[in-house]
Amino acid sequence: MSTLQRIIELAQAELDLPAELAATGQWPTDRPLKELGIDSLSFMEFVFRLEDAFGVSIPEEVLKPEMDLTQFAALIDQLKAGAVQTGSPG
Amino acid sequence: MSGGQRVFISGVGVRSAIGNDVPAFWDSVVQGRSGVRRFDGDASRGLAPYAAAPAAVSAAELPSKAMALQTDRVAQLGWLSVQQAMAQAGLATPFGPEAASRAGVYWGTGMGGAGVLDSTYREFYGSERPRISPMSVVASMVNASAGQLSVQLGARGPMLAVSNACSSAAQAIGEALHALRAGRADVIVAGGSEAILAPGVIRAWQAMGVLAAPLADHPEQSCRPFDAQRGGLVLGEGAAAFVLESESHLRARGGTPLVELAGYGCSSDAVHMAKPDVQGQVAALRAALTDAAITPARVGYINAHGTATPTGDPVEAESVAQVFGAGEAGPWISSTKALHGHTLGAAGAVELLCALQALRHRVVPRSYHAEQAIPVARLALPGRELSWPAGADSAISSSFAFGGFNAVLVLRDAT
Repeated sequence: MSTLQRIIELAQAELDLPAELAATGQWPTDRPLKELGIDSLSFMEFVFRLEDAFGVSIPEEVLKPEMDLTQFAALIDQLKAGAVQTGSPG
Repeated sequence: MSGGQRVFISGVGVRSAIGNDVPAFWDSVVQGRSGVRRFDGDASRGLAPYAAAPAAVSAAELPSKAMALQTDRVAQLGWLSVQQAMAQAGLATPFGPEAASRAGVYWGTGMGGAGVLDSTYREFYGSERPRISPMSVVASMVNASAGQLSVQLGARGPMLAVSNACSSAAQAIGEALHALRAGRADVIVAGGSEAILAPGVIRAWQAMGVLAAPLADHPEQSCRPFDAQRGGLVLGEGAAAFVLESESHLRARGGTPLVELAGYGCSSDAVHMAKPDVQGQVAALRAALTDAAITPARVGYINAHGTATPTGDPVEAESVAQVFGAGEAGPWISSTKALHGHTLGAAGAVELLCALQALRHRVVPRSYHAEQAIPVARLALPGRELSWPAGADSAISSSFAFGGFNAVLVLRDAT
């Protein structure tokens, strides 16, 4: 299963689809979570679930509220490959 | 009696270790089915084996995934009980635009979102790279349940979160009664919930030395109110909800009353943080009868606070004797904590439900697990012939809290 497919599964399990998409049962992969009605509290809880599911630590400074599921998948693949540079200033 | 309108209960709901709805709960009470179980504890952390009465809740039952992610069990149990109460009352959820501003939520809890707080502290102190959930504050604060219920119900009238330890829910319901009499709302959803079976919280209770050790052969009988060998209280989880309505609102919409919420009395001991006091309890019992404008002879059943602590039970027996007499002519008395455990801040609601069912069905809940009962007037022991006292049309639920606050509620037949 690809990273994106696993993320879609997690979104379906943990997040509420907006009413206009509920009939489709499908999580769009290219729309920001914020735009889909996911508030900042649920956003961070979802990030924790992703960390647990993929065994990665997602640095807060790379998170943006406008991220969509495809961008999460790319980020997680980069983290797993050790390709994300993080660090605190100073 | 206080002035103002009469107030009726038109819907009830419950979640507990002995039932996830009112019929299942009441069947357990009548059959004497205990929800208490033994848990191993954690020797490495000094958490001794304990007895507890856990309730069940699953994410699939909740109205949204956001609620599952963002709330503690205490709010979830609360909502699941409120949903039942609203359905029985026949009221729309959420409230419509006109009803909303006249609808309130009064909710009691002793420790609020204790589970979220416990896991947050565990993460902060115990993890190498602590991840602290941004919902920790709004899920654990004492008014989290009241707030969540208000949101889910769309109730835009008064909201009150009561935290007075084991009297929390009783006080929430009593204050709702007075608010409705005073015309501050037409409908108030009142009750309480508690969910404190988190390791750190249980360890704190063990430190206080008031918990019963699990009985080796029969852990389900570990809570023994009014028994000579009682060893202490057993923590339970649960929630119970009541839809309270002013008489005019209920009549206007053609609703069906279950019982009248007739009286509320309260007092403070002003003596000690954890030792109960006869004078304080008697004052609350008498105040409740006065508020309901009834004599003691009108009471058919008392759901006692009856925690099964060595100190508490004899004090309550004496208080009841002073108000209702020590002979065999008074109301039946029992503590249903033997079955559902001590649900702390929810106890006043869970046990008011027992009193409500007793009154409606004229069936006295028995006091289980007291093999050698201490002297208590008319203790409803298993095996005794129980009949509803002639001329009685009322029932009482008593709640007496750490901190020295006493709250007593009176129910009367809906006529």
